[in-house]
Amino acid sequence: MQNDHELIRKYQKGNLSAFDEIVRRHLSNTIGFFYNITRDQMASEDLAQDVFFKLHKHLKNFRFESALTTYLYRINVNTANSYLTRNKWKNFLHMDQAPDRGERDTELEYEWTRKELWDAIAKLPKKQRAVVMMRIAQNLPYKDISEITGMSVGTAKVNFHHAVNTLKGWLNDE
Amino acid sequence: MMNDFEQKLMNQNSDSSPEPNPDEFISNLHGRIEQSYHNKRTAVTGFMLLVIVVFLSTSDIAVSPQANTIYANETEDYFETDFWNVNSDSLQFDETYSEDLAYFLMDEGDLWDTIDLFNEIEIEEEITL
Repeated sequence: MQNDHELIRKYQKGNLSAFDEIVRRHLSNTIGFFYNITRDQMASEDLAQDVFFKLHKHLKNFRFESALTTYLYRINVNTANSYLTRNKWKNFLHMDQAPDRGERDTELEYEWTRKELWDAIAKLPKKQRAVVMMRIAQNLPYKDISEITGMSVGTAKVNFHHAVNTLKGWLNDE
Repeated sequence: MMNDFEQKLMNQNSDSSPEPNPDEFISNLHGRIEQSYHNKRTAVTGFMLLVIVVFLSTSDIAVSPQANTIYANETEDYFETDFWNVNSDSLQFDETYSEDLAYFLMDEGDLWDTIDLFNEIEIEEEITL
């Protein structure tokens, strides 16, 4: 089985089916990331399509300095950032006719809903938001997060800790 | 050590995500990529047309009004209707020439001259017979 870099090289030489193979390989993971944020299959597939569309545009200039997954996670985080910002403005402008507060998770019996949580995450500073997204939506270890974001493992941990405390305050969770 | 709130956050993604249909997804993705290329081509073509229109407009402004005079003179030369040679040569030319002359006279609003021309042609035909 060819690794990601071999497939990218093939794609750069004009083999379009190599790109399809890359999509197949990372599709499930990418949709899973967005599904954990949106809880909406259609929205998560649309966002995943945005990600692979961007990947298609930039893959020709891929310089093989990092793993494709690292590159892909960066695009995921940027796309999720745009999505959360867009939603924040939508809420601010009251564009939703009937505000959907999200379904309360009866199994977990939290004091807040998923939508409230992600609305709160959208308000976090950029670095904290990126770390929280990767930790919560993708369950990534700090080592991988530090590689993707370019910060040290310690900084990633500190950012996550600050973000958790802020979110706890905002969501009034005792 | 993970506290309670942190644990709740981490439990957010405990649900299994839906399994997408890769073939359908890739097909949609290719459609979008194709659409993007098409939009790019349309934008470039539109820009080129705009440049051409702007170029033609500016070059037209630069042309002197002398051009209209040239056109009028040329038309006159083409039909040979400067009224010095109408009487002398009109009847010696073929039918096309006569029609051209008649159209020209009609355009100029000389209806009686046109009728005269047709009469001349008829008389000439009778004479030649």
